[in-house]
Amino acid sequence: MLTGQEYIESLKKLKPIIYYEGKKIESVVGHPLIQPHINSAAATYDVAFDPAFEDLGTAVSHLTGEKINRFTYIHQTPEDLVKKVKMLRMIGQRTGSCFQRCVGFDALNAVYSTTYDMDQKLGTSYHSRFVEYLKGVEKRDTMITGAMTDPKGDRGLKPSKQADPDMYVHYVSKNEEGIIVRGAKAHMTGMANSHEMLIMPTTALKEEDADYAVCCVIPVDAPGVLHIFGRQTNDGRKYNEIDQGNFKFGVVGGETLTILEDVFVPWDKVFMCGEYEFAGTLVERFASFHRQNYGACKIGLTDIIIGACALIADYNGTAKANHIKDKIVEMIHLSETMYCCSLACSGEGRKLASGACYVDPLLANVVKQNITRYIYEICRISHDIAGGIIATLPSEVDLKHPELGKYVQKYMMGVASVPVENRFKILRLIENMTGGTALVESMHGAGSPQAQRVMLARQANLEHKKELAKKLVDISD
Amino acid sequence: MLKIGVKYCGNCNPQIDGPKLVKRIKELLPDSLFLSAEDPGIDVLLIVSGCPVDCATRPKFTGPLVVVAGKTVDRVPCEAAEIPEVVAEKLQKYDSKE
Ligand SMILES: Cc1cc2nc3c(=O)[nH]c(=O)nc-3n(C[C@H](O)[C@H](O)[C@H](O)COP(=O)(O)OP(=O)(O)OC[C@H]3O[C@@H](n4cnc5c(N)ncnc54)[C@H](O)[C@@H]3O)c2cc1C
Repeated sequence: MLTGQEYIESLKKLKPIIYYEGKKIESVVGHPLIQPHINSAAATYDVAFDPAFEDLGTAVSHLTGEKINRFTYIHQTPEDLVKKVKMLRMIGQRTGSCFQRCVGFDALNAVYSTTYDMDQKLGTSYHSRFVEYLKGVEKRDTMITGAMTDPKGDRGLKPSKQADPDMYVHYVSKNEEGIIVRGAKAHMTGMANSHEMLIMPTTALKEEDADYAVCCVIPVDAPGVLHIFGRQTNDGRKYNEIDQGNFKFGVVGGETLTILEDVFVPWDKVFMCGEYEFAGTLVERFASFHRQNYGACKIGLTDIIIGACALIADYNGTAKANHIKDKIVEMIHLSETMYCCSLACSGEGRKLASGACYVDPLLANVVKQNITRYIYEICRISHDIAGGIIATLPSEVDLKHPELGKYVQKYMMGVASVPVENRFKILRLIENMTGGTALVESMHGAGSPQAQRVMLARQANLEHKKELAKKLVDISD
Repeated sequence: MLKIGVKYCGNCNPQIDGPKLVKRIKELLPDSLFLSAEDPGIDVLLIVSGCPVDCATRPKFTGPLVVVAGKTVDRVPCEAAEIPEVVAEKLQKYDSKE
């Protein structure tokens, strides 16, 4: 296992090509845009070494019997799934931001069971190849980007019917050594500070789209890979501390648009190549594991938002008002409801043919559907409690300005005993954790709401419900 | 010398500060040795779970246990301020010198 510092050192050895606003980022480590995301990911490494957290941060490999970082583990039991949920909440409480590593974690788990099923049905040998790769991941404590989402072009058209065939990642050729892939992956969480990416198809596929059924591992700095780091709300504030809100860990995961310009992938890193029948299974499993997470990591974050709201009520002198108390209770209720859903889909986890454990997909989709609403409601309440000042607060520079500072200090005071700087810090924290980029992640991360509704309709066993109603009133047909 | 193994849960939503509690217990038992829960030489195992769910994974240890789980000690409710003394007293019973 790596410590957080060893992980950071390991990044220095990589040479990914990353651009931001037209300029090449020479080193991700120490870059003000990316360092907060590195700090956040490093927390996933550090918890494995801290006695207070290691019960969640580590697991025992089912492959080797060695103690490993849980982010490289294949769940074996429902208890493992519950531990995952608790771990994500616990790390979220520490970072107040996305720590990125769950995407690759979910990708590993989805590919593990899907390759097993593929081999059973098609006689391929992807699973043993994947297990060999996985052993290396466990040993090296690799940080992997889960790379599913394609740019998708015209959403109404299948991959092979797009005006540009590269709107979905596909393989363009293969030979004895490996395959060549082309396309791009969008919204890539943690890519800039990962070691590798695990490419998966975005959608279920039919035979005419078999070239798009690709699952493989690519180093972030492989020849032909280019990353464009995305803009975030308030990223112009990266050179200030207080104004960022969460300056140490940032907001969301630091996403990239990652372009794959004819990238060579050796066969030992290829886990699907043309087996279109299994693209849907892989997508569904990855999505369900990933949707499980949102009632976990996001609850770590809402723990902080709720705490920040309670503090700002103290600082503003409103904490004793009944409606404020009630709004805080409402936030707690919404937050713990989401957590309940994550625990439930984990507790109802079941073994797959590979022996690995899978969440209950119906309940996992309920988790994420709730997130697309309840996080917005929590953030709405936080804006109510914090006051309009989160939208109009003067800058940190003016707070500390030799001439203007005295006015900012005087008129931005709340309860007299609270230092104005503390009030600034909490207001900025609320502003940055509850708006813009942070909020959108709750809507679209792990899939847009409609993607969950499709799964709910498919999994809900509606015919059984109809039968129940008929039986109760003696309808037989 | 009493050898105490300490095992924490992962502290996802703790009602007590486990590491702070253990620090206080160490002060109350200056002659005891606090070790990892996996250490084969321990006399007693102290489980420190942040809440009553008490999900800390139990190591392979068949000896005596003292379990703090939120504001309880061996399942009995306990005021937070009293937990260190109550636990120290229970642990001391396993000191062979006593
Ligand atoms: C912060 C953040 C981090 C992310 N991290 C990752 C990551 O690490 N890895 C990864 O793989 N993905 C990641 N994603 C991507 C995420 O899974 C997608 O954003 C999500 O699947 C939605 O896709 P989209 O953004 O292209 O939206 P769109 O597909 O453009 O959706 C917009 C709207 O159009 C609707 N729509 C789309 N297609 C159709 C259709 N065919 N018919 C009818 N309606 C349609 C949707 O339901 C939605 O209402 C991340 C996203 C965000 C915001």
